[in-house]
Amino acid sequence: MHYIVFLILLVIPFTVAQAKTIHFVLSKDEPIYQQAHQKIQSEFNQSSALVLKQDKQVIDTFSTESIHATDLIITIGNKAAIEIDRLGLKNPIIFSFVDDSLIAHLENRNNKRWVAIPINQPVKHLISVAEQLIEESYKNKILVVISEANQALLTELNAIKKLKNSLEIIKIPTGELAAKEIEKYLFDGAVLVAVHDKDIWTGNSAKWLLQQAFIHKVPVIGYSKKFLVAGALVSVYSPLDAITSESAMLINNWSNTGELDRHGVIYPKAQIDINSNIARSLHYPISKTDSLSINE
Amino acid sequence: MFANKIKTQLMLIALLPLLSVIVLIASFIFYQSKINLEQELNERGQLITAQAALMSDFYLYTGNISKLEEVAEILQKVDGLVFIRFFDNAGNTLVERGNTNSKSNVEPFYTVVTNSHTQIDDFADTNSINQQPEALGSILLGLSRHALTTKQQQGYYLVLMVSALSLIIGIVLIYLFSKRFNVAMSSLLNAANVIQQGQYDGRCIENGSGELLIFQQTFNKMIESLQRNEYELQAKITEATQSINETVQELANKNDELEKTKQEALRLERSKAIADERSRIMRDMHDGIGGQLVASLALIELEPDNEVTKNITSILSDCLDDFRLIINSLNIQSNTLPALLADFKYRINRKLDKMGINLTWELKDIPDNVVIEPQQSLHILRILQEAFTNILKHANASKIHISAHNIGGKIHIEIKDNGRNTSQNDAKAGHGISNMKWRANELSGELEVKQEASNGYKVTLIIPMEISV
Repeated sequence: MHYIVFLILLVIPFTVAQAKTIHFVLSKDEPIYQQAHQKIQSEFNQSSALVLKQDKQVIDTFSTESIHATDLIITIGNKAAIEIDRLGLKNPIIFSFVDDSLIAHLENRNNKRWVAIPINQPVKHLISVAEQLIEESYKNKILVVISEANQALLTELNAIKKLKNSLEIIKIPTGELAAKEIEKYLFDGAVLVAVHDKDIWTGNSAKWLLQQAFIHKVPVIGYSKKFLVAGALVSVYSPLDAITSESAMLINNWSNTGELDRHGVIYPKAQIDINSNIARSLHYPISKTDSLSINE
Repeated sequence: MFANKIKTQLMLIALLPLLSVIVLIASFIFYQSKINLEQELNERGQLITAQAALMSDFYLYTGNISKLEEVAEILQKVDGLVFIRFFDNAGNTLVERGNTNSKSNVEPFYTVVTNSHTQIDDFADTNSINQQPEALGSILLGLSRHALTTKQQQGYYLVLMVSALSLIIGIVLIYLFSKRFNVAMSSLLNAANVIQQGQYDGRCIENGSGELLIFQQTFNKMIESLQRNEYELQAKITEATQSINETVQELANKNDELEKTKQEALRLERSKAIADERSRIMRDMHDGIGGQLVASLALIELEPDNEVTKNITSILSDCLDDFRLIINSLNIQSNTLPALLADFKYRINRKLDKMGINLTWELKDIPDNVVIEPQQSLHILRILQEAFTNILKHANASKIHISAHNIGGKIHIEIKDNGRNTSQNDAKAGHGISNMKWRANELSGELEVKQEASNGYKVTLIIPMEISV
């Protein structure tokens, strides 16, 4: 009898350890990642009746020892996403808070059990908003500045341009300054759409591009909320709550079924914000900017 | 060190702190003005460099030299800007305008133009947020200090003028505000000076106010009290002096009296000695010469009556009379004027009776206490004797009147007869009258001999009362 009890006690922890675990992998041990993690965790705990084991690691000290094939991995941020992708694990993975520069790479993965929730909205959403802005303008060119080397984005834009003639794609050769090259286009441009191109829109160059655009009275549509602070008229982006909601929903489904119910890139519902000061400076009516929306 | 006058002291007491404060404030303003102007120059330099950075940052970022030249030319027009230079990141000069060789009186300002990092990613990590700003180039510009120097000088002149004005206003205000105090203090001082000279009736004019007025009133009350005390003291001193003087006078009087008493005692003692000696001589003469004269007269009377014996008898009788006269004059106990005249009357009366001459006698206002010295008695008796001898010898008178009067403190003794008048020459002849006048002179008196209009003569002897006192 005693042997039986001992055996049960020995087996119980083993069986628990074999239960599904959620592994959060943070790009860095920094407040912004911790906040994202806590928010996802909180939303999941509120929406799910199950109590699952949860684990949190930072990618720099990440270890696969505690990860089993049935566990769910959720990366937060680009770095964690890249590293986890490089490890080639077979687990279902949610790449949350990634930017769209990773998407083309992720789409080539062999393991299809993944979902990417980008922090940016697709270019077409920004173009859609841009079209609404120039509806009443005598100028109708939607300017998009990209580097020559960004072929993926160029392809995407070319595809859009086939449908929208007003799109002007400005390709900046490597080594040239976008702020300098763009000036001549701004005379005819109706709106400048900032796309997520790390060679063009950087922390050091954004100021000049925005400044040039403002001098020429050309509104800028940014891809993040921070663009509003930097001087853009409109920001079209994926808000934190939307990303965490999508992530929590995916975890919840996984916890019930053991599999991700969706795959590939899932864009959260876009948020459109207006900088009323810039609108006033550029003589854009606030009421008009309030009615902006994404037309799929 | 300080002036003696209260007004000057008060002026200095008020003025020196004021002057110190003005100097201190002026120094502080000078110092602060210099700092402010330096700060102003510095702020202006920083403002211009900031403006230059703002105007040129994009062109430094894009390396647009022509635009940088435009910026430099615009900035060159800024007042006081001597030169401006733009450098790239490697420190190479991109654009240069103005007199870059000017070093003196030029304040250089240097700034590095940076490209601040703009946050455009919502989900960026801390490293990207804290990215250091990228240097785009640098600007060096020089500002002239001339304007600063001019401003400094203007500031100094202004401070000096304000200080001088403050000092003048301060002096005027001190003078005005201290005037009443000065007047009040001067009034006190004047009163004190008057009192110092011993004039206790001096008073301070009560022209002060507040505590000073109370002080003046108290001062006046003190002076009143002092004056009262002084008067009381003076009165006591006068009283004491008077009392001392009286005492001294009393003492002097008593001393004089004592001296008189002493002199009198000495005189009496001497008189007594003289009188004793005179008495002894008189007794000796009476007993000796007198006795012998009486004996000789008695012997002659025993001789047969002839011319010789008559003459001798007459001479002896005269000698005896004269001897008696001398004895009488030396008799001090009877030497008062009435007694002297009474004794003379008694002795001459017998002779006059024999000759049938009537003698009348009159004494009026002659004090009884008039004592005459023996020598003076002798002079008076000799004058009377000479006057009677002359009447008996020459006048052939039947009446003789003797009177003694006190007239104006002088004794007038008159001898009048009703005899015949003699000629002028007879009156002048002989030494009798001249001897009478000599004796009168010895008595400090005078003698008059007048012929009466009717008949006879009047001999008047006037002697002072004092000689007999």
